[in-house]
Amino acid sequence: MKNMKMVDAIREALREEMHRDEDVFLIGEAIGGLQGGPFKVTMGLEEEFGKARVVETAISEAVLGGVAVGAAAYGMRPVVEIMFGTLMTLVVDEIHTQAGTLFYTSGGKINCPCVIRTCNWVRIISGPHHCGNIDAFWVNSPGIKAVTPSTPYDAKGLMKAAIRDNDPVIFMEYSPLYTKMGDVPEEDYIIPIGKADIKLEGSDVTVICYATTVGDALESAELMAKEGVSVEVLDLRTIIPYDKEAIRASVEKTGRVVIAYEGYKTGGVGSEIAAFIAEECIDSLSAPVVRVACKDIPNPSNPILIDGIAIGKREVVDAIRRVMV
Amino acid sequence: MNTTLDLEDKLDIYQKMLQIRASELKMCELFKKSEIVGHMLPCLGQEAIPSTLAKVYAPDDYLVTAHRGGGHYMAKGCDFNAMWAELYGRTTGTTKGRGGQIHLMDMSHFALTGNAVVGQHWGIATGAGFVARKRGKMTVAVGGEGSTNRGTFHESLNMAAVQKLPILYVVEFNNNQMYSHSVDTTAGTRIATRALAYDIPGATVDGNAPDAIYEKAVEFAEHIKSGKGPCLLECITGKWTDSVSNVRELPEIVEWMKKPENDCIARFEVKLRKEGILTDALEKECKDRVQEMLQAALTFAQNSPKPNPSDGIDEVYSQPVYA
Repeated sequence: MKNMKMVDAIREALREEMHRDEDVFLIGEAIGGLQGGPFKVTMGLEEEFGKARVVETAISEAVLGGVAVGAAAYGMRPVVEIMFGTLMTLVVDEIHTQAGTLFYTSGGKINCPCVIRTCNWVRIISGPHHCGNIDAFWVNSPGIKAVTPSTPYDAKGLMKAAIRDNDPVIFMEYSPLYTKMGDVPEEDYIIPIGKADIKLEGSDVTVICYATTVGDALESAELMAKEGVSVEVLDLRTIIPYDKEAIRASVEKTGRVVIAYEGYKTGGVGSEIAAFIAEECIDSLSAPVVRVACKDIPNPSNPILIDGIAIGKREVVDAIRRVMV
Repeated sequence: MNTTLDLEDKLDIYQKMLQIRASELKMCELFKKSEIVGHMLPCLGQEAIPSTLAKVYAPDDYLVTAHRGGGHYMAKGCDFNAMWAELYGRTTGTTKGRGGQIHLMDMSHFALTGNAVVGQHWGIATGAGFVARKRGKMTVAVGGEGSTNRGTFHESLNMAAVQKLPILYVVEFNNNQMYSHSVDTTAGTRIATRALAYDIPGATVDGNAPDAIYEKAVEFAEHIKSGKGPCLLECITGKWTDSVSNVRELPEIVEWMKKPENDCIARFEVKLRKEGILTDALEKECKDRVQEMLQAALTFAQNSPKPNPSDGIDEVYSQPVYA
């Protein structure tokens, strides 16, 4: 094991996959040079692999999305960077309409093995054009897989799985997690797409979460333990196709559910999870499901106002107390 | 570099043009009878372009087209029977009856010859260009002038020019964007001049004349294959129809079609006769061959099984997932 930041774990996954398979290439805006994008994820890779495999492009999201589809359909494995999660709206057609439909519409004959990386965070003080959350969009997009790690270990394993996967995979990074430290194995490994992870076992209430809300859930669990409440933290890791069996097993065990996610509350990722639980696990519930999510308000460019829409440990703790009544 | 077509090439092109014309006409006829259903976009009037490009690209070069890709699908040599089964929505169709006419694609021939979002194929073709660059091949991207006002066209030319991608961008200028005239929608008289903005070679040719298309396309293909980057070829043509439902109904198209010089096949026949290549007997032979192929394809399609409503639900993802 070695201890590293998530940003280094993602970069290590990219580097190792590029060494393993020469058809893997990176493409995006400002990803080259010594900087390697605004968050340094691809730092140094252009120097190592050259301009043909670390392709720095114009501000051209639509064609970046097109390149993902075309290069993948013809047999390479492009990893595209879209700088911010909100800018993913610029490639919705390419991902949702083109990449997501290709395998089915080709009669199961043409794979589309591309990865689209992007970066979210509700607390970037940058206003609604750079800062917002459309994670839920991909849950409503047949043929698309979407993963979102919360630890360096998961990030590296999920990135390798995403690159090797024969379907389009959206890889959602969250900027505050880039500096999060964690142990990562020396040897090659993957985290299977579609498999959740119990980050903390508990018996009274399940907090279903992903990415940034995993940390909130773990801190909340620590606090609640002092009040005698045993919290189970279920990290989805993949938001689509999400791990129904893991959710079912945890809900059967605890009977109480809080779903914490950084997106907008209405129609969010957690709304789908709540609907699944209502449809398939209702008999296991001893309290109504509670969602903890951002308010349905465009992101303001002001930290005081962001506090008014964002969520954190306090909101998760409040929700746990609500379902424990 | 030989930029002139030889006798065998000309006859191949003629044969392809006849096949595309007959097939597309039959498609319109059967659609009107409601024997086949769905969204279908024939390339009637534009047959010279796909038929000639097939002499420019290699069989394993990549071909990405948008609307009106049926001619390109046929010209690239993709399975004709499977195309007709697709029009009939049968399981033996090229996409098992799922994509229909506007999603014709056959990767065994490196052909993505359907895309129903106008202009999206330019970006996809640019992606195919990255693969072509790595594998030592060429990508041919084809679309109507209506798609060249999308940002994807400009973003693609820019990226391909910077990256020196081996892509021949071909614009089928048919003067109509649905029911709008190009003059009402498009700035500049010629699409090819847009090449200047990206510092790549561009040219406009008579898109109803195989010799003219071939001459420039071969020159551009040589430029592209030598690693010098993309080219933009504009082919002036005209379409008989926007979709299967309005063939020969738009007044200006009816007028346009009355002039034999606007029909690429009639024109090519005159030329081939003047050159002593085409005789009555040979013309009949070529046309009979097309009818035989078409009849065989129709029989194949009509005798193929229809899908069950639940077919394909296990083919949304290509590999099994944990959940």
